[in-house]
Amino acid sequence: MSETNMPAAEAAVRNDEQEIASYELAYHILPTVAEGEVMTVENELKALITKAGGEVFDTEAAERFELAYEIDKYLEGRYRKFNSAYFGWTRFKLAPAALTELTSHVDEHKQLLRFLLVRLTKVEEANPFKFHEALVDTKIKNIDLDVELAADAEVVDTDDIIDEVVEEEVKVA
Amino acid sequence: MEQHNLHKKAALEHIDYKDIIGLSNNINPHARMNSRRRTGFSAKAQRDFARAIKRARFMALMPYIAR
Repeated sequence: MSETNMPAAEAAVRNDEQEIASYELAYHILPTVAEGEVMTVENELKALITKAGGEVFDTEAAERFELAYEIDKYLEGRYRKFNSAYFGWTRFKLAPAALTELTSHVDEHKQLLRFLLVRLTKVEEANPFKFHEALVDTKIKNIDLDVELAADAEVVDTDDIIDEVVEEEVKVA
Repeated sequence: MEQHNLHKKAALEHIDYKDIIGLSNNINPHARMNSRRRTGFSAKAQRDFARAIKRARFMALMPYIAR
């Protein structure tokens, strides 16, 4: 079902432009990479960007994410299926002419499952969206619901007390 | 009217492809995008929304299809 190539609008490179533009590189790092070594892969990507003449100005550390669908990746002579990966992104400024080279270098990186290179508009550049933080916020909301459930349980206790009081009054009567 | 204000605000702050919770408000159970009639977006916001969904699908943040 999935497309293996970046959407056409993203993949198109405008070489005629001279002005430095802002880009966002979002990536999935293979789940086979150990938790502690994800940082080194990210640093390698940042090194590729700076090597191409780019300047990193914002980043979100990669964290484990369950993919919406299974992705096939050709590794060591056969296709392997992946259901999760470490998702993170980096924002940087770069001259459009250097983009083709950078894309090919990132493409050659062996620890990447998939990546997306997006040109940022000025509004997007001013409002970075933190993916994992936004997901954590929803999880906190779920915990709040549990607290409400606990409050409901306390209400049941008061009902019991009322019942006892009523029973006592009945005895008195 | 309320929805109108909502999408204006969203367009102002831009629709991000990583905002999968916000995007999933405007898809149906089969994971298809809602039409402009349902979303109430302006033409520009709907284009941004469509682009964001397609980026999210490519990055497996959202499904192409769901049953």
